[in-house]
Amino acid sequence: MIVVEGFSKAYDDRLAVSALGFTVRPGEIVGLVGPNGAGKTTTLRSIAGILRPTAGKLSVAGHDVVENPVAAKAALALVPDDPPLFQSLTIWEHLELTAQIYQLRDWESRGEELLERFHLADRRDTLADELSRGMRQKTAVCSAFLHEPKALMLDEPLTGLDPRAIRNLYSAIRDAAAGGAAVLLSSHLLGQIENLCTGFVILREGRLNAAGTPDEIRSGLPALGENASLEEIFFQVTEGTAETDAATAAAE
Amino acid sequence: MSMGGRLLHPGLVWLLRRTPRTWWRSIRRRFNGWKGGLLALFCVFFALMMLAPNVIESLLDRGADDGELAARARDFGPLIMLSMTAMSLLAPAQRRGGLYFKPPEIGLLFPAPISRRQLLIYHVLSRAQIQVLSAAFMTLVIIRHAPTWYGCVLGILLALLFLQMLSQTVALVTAAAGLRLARPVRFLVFALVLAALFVGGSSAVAQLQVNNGPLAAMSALVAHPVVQIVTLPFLPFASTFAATSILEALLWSAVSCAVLASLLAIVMKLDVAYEEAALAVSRDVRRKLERMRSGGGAMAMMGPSSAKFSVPHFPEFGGAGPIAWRQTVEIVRNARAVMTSMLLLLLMPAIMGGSVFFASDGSGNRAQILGRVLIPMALMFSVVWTQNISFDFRRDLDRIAYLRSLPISSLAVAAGQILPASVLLAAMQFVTVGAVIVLTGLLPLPVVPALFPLLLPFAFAVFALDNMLFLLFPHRLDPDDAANVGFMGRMMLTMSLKFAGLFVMLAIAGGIGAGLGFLAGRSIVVGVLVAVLLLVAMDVVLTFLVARTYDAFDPGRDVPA
Repeated sequence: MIVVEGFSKAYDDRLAVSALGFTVRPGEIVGLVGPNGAGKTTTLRSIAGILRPTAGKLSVAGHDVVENPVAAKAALALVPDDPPLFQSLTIWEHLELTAQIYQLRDWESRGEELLERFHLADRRDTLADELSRGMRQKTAVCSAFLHEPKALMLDEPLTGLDPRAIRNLYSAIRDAAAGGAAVLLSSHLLGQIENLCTGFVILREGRLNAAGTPDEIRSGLPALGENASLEEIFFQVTEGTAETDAATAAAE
Repeated sequence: MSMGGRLLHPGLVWLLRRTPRTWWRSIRRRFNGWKGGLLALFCVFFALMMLAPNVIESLLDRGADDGELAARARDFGPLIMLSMTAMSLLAPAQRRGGLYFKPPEIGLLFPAPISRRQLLIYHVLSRAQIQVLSAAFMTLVIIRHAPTWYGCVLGILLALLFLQMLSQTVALVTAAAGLRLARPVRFLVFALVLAALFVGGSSAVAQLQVNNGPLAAMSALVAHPVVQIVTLPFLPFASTFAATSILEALLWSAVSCAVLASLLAIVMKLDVAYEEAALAVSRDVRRKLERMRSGGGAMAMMGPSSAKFSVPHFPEFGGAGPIAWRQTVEIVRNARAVMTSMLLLLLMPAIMGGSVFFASDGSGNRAQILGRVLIPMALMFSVVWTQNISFDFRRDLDRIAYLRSLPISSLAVAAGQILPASVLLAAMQFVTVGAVIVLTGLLPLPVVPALFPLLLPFAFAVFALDNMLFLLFPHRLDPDDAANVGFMGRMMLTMSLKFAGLFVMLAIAGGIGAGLGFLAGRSIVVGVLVAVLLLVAMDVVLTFLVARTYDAFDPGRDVPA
């Protein structure tokens, strides 16, 4: 479970995220959406323990990220945007490194299965330096799934992936959620994640504008019809004037 | 799982053990293919030429020299280390305050279940691995100046480790103090070092005034009590280097190790949340290194100026005009880096000229002697210096595909790419050489304005050769690759070819010019005019060659990763 309570993050004088609160329960797949500069990556990086929150409480699998970062991170996997890999390590060695970091035993068969799933098996000994953007993304995804995290976070995971890889990633994410993982992913490709996510957190300028299932958010936006797409919801929430009831409910 | 409780996380141990293998892979990949083979040959040749004599000489018995070498190393070593520390304070990472982590370290290790302290130890050890490589290379370079080989090996290694840890400690202190305080802290340390050198400098100046030469001045500087106090922490390392017996080397090494251990203890004690500062620093450094990687040289680290000067569009000239305009805008927008580059170009011959001036015995016309030394020196420096003002194909490595898509002939692209930087280099040479002439009175002043048209075809030839060689042997500097030995070989290869090309061109132009000038009644004007015209004609041929090389360049295959 990922719990974000009253989270704020300031860089010098600029408030990147302000009093954000939401929860991702086991089995849920929550889409973190918002325009550029809304604070999505800051939120993901703070939950991952890379950035220190200015205020608020962040916890992963019951462990406070600030108080007990190692335990929180042990339950977590983050796939960053445009994953930076170690240039002179092969794909397989990245999995090996992940196994070492998370102290996994007998991980090889799962590693091979993941490489098969993401069509990387025949490139397992290729150096990261020689991989395309999509393949680097897939390598990072395989590394993230290797230790079967209780909380999975993906920052713009679809960028650079081919349609087959996107489909495989969807199915892997659904499998992880079905296995009890809490999944939080950020993306600008609203049409792509609309049917994947069970709920959404919509940010604008670091503030929570709406949160909940699509139906819950729609119900707070009377101007939209009951069949309004995520894209329509997004524009109404981020460019419209009214704060939604759903945001108020989520904040509470 | 108590991974957070161990001194070093098993995953990090795995990564550290894997590092030498990754370096080896990196080297192997760089020497692939016939071009790689040629580079490998040059690397070996360069190593033999530069390093073998050092090693051989150090192995020969030098007897009485040892005492003098030891004394010099002990006297000047601490000051050299202090200067290196002061320089490292100007490094980009220190400028922001914070440790520099590579992108994969941030992306993969920061979110991993690794404690802050474990990551810090990894940072110290992984950077120490690089220092071991650097120490091995430096040892081979300066072993002949050390009294003993074991003192040299130990002294350099320990000194580099100390400098690295000192820089990490400063980074952590500034991270603890907060990014806002980073600049004042850095400034304060730098000011203290400068103040000490200034105080000690008075005795050095006194030595210069009585005409005792630079060595006596330096000795007076390092003997000053203030300088001795400031450089005291560096003394054990210099003394290890200067050791004349195994026992002495071991004793000083033990003292040095104690200093290192104390520094490590301070680093470990400073359990500050450095991650965020590291993130900011790494992003900042990365941006600058990316600019450098794309071919801007060291000056590209500075980045573009904030002022957006506009440049009027040039006539089209078959497409060469807009291409040249774009490069001119780049030059103008990077005025700060260009000016710094120019200042350094003036400074380097000035320093060398200064030492020649002070070393001379005072007989003859010192100023004219200086001028004769400085002008060729300034021109040679400017030829080597072009990497730092590479507003041409070298900066456009990632834009070659775009350039190829333009409806402009390759000849026009080549001319447009090379001309603006050539004009800039000619202007720099003009200022440097002109200044030398004015200051030394080597030539009559009316000659100065005529210099620019003489220098321009020469500068164009330098850039044309640079670009042709770059398109033949494209490369990028990878600042994260500690085993970037191919870079040195490539640099030596291209530099040698460039100088050979320039020599042939100047010999042809100069020879024919001198011959025709002689036939025209020993007319210098005719000789120079003929030489310049010939150089211009050769520039045209070179431009065609660059265009051909650019045509043959395959962005899908030849752009290095």
